[in-house]
Amino acid sequence: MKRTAMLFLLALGVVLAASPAFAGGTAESGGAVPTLKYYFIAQQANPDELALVQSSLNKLVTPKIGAKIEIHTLNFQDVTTKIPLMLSSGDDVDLVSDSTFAPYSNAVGTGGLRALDDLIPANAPATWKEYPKEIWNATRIDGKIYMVPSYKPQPSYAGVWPRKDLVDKYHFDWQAPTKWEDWEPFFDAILQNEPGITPILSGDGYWGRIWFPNYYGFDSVDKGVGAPKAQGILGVRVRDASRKIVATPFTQEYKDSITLMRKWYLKGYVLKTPPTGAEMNTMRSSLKFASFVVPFVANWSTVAMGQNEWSGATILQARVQRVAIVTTSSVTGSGTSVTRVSKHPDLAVKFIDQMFQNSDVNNLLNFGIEGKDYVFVDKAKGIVAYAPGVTGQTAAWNPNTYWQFGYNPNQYVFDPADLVARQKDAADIKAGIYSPVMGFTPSRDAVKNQIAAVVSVCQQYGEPLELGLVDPDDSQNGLAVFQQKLKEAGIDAILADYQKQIDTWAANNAK
Amino acid sequence: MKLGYRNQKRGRAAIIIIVLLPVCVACLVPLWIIIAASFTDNARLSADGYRLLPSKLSLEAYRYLLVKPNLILTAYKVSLFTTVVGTVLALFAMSTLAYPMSRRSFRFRNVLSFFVFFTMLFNGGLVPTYILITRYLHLKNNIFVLILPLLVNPFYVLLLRTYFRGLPDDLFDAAKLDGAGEFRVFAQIAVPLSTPALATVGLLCMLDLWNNMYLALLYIDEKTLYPLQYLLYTLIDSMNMIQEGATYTGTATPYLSVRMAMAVLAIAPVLLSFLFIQRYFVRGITLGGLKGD
Amino acid sequence: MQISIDFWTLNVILPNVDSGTAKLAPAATGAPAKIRRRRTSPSNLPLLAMSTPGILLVFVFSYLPMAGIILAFKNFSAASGVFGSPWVGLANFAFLFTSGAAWRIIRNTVFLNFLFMVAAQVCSICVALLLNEIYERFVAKLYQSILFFPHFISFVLVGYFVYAFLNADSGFVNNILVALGMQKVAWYSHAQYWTAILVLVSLWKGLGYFTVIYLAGMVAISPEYYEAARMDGGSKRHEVWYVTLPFIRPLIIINVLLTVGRIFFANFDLFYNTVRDTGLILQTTDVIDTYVVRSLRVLGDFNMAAAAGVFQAVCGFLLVVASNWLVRRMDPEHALF
Repeated sequence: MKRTAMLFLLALGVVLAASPAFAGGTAESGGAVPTLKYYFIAQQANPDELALVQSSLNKLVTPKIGAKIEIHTLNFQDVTTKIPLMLSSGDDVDLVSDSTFAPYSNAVGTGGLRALDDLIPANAPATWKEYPKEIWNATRIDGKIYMVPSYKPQPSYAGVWPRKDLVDKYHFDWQAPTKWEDWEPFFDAILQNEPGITPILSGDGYWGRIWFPNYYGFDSVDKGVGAPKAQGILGVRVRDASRKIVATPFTQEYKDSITLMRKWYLKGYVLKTPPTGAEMNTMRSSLKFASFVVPFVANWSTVAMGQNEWSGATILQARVQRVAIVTTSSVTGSGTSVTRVSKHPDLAVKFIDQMFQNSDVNNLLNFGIEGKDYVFVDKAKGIVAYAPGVTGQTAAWNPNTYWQFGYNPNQYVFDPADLVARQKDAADIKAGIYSPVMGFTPSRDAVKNQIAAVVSVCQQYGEPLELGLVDPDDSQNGLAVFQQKLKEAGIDAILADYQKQIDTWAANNAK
Repeated sequence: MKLGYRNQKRGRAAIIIIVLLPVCVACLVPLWIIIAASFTDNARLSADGYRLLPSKLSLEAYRYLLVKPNLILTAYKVSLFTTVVGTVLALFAMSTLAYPMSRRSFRFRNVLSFFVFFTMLFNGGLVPTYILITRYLHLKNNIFVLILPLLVNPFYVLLLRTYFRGLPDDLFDAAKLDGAGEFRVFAQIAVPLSTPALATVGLLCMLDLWNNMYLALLYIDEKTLYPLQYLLYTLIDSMNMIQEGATYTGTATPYLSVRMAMAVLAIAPVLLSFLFIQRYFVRGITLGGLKGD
Repeated sequence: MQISIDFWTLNVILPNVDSGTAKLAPAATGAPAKIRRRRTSPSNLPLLAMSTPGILLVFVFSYLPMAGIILAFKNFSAASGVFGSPWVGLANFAFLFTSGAAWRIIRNTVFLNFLFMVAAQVCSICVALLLNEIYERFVAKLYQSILFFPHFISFVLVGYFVYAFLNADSGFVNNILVALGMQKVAWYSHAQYWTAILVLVSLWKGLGYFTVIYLAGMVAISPEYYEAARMDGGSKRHEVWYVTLPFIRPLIIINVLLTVGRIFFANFDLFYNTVRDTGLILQTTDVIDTYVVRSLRVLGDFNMAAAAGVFQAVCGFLLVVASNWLVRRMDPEHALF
């Protein structure tokens, strides 16, 4: 017994002694230069590579701003939990990235972000001038600016991503359709002639629907009010100068949309049971789908997407919606914020300025080290490729998020076609419509409970309707029942509150 | 009319097989399919669905995951350390906690039981726990953050209490008459007699430690400290974001076969340890501790 | 009259020793019902000392953060911290009850958990009894190991399998139905099937787990008791009823009591991955945990999530206290506390 006790204590001692070796070492920054901690999303970041990138970054940045940056990368999934947690608990962090995965409004809601109204003009004058006043106003919550948005006017349209090989095979003029129904001949041809292929991709609750508010002329104010994977049920008609907010399930457009989707579902355009994400990925890569109906058809090159998701098939960007709509969410979709507990907020903002304005910094963060992670294909034009032997999967440094560090006009591209796309984008935005509530971010405080109830009602009744799983006239789960349940959940209270907020905001902005 | 002894035995054997066999098949087949799927070529997997034997053998899934062997190796080491050390410490902490709770002579046994049980229901929540661990205990990015919170599981403690209570009192009384102190009684009598119970709880603890991803997600930033499960999860689940839109270029989508391979890599070591621990489920530890069955 | 173990006092009863029944030996799991306890037992201090590491760990990692339960009654803001944030009374609980879904989610949670518990305990006890009968050690271990395999499979994969079985396009079950000449069924569109489906999935996953726990209790039974029962000509049924079951009764009680305590907490992974928030089946499958996660995903509100947790904990706690009191009336030694 004594022997075993001794052995045990000895083992314990060894373990405890060895434990410091296991404690992760975060580099100590000695000296008087302050260190700023920056957390952002990266798909892949090897520790060794991260250290290299960090030191290169500091070589560029420290002389200019007088501070060192310590970078920490987070996974796409973790970001949703970790960033609000770090902000809520006052963790030692200076800069965080805002994105759809860690939404800006939630981050502000934790109380962990610092208002930047004074800091930006003082410390990042170039970036401040870069965006027009409307854009800055769009980031205001309760009147204050809490982030530096990564905003690039990029149009997106509701439309279809069809496979080129099938479109050609059935001689379908993919650029002609102006409404959903115009695509039916193509889908019918697939149904009749390609037994193993499903015309439209569906999956995991997001896809297999055609209710995209923009297509029907709505700005979906606050996408969060609605089922989590849907597009939100509150809307303002973009051509409505009075900015009246409505609950879209009560509109004729919604009814038409779900009726059409139901017709498509019964015909067999989508799978009868929406598959899980993994199943959908697998089917897509085995080319068991003919097309993907999405709300973000754009101008960028689909070569990479085709190679990585469709086993190399060529995918076309076929827009059905004809006019781009610019909404607030395009502004607050991503950006960088400074935390309330940061000891050097001015230096933090200076760093953000560097990311946006200094193309060396921007490209370093996006692409890593030249020669190791990427090589130039055409240095003059800024076209790059992965370094030899490196692929997207094996890359040691691959944030794969070209929107996070600000849109720098000199950002490198993988595909030369993207350079052309940039010009097309500018033209499309010029021809687009700005939503009348562009710049308005609602506060949910007064109607939190109603929103919680509405979210669940939408999940239970709205989702099956939008995915075509149930008949709109169904007595138990149809549209009438959905509307009834929405009323019971308090949709009217939400509409009233939001309308008041919109009217106040509009009045303030008119000044 | 009573059946003869041999027929009775045959009848019992038949019942056992009729009941247990289908259940075992239902438990075995899914795991088998997962292993088979991980070795299947992904395109065929999609075309043919789940099969018992790979329709087309392929190591692609494993190649995808093991593309950075260094990182995986480090993660295995981390997981191994946390699991082994954690299980030993947990068994120690929980058995020393459960044993007094099982002794009738211990005045505080009900108080202690309540103290432990209460935590199964009431929880401070994510933010307070996070603040405690990062700000006050400074355990962020420390390997012990993966071990310490899991050391005492109230359910296992109460299980051990029940097992300890099941031990016959005579032995304890006899030992105490001989002048043994409580700890000696515990270590030299209770523990050896409770091998099946300790093996069970040890196994369950080991599984909890090995599978835990949540602690790593919250408290570990350093990639060299990622445990295996969490590392595999990060390799795969960043792809779920593809759902939101294919604006992310240059990345391959992980296939179903890759997810299967990930599952296999993650559970293989535990599966093997489980089969190894089986030998401790020995039947019939008798009172005298003299003969097995 | 046969040899038997009194189910409630766990004393072995042998007839004919003296006139009337005599107590042979206190059965292992219970001393004679009354015991004279000295006020200050000499074992108190060493036992307390022994349990210190455990107590410390529980205190630090579970009780210290418990102060955060007050967040359920506050409107937390990082700027004010946990203790400085303003009180809002019961406002955070409102979202659970004003939506009209309260009855449904509470009913589903409790009812499904109850079914899960009954199915798991009954089936695992039966299987453990069967395994206990197998004399070839290798075969028994083989069965035991295989039964445990589902525990290794994460619910994410379970979700894939359920989908593979039940999807309306190419699901395994539908293929069988068609082969048998019947109609395909859209499983994910009919809420009424899912109570049974979920019970089956939960049973499949948990069977091996509880079987191992019960088996560990059964192997500790000294063969002397079985011999005594057999000597008296008792059949297998007697052995089980009078020896095995009484010995694992404490285990059963503990399992049931603990499950009852958590009856308002659903197994989130199970529901999230198999039900996958499919609208048409939410009527019978929406539970408190999934409702809370879905509603708060958008709002990002920690306070409301904390409030839901407190609600679940308090309900479960009251239920356990009541059950424990009941158990105490019948068998004081094996109550939870």
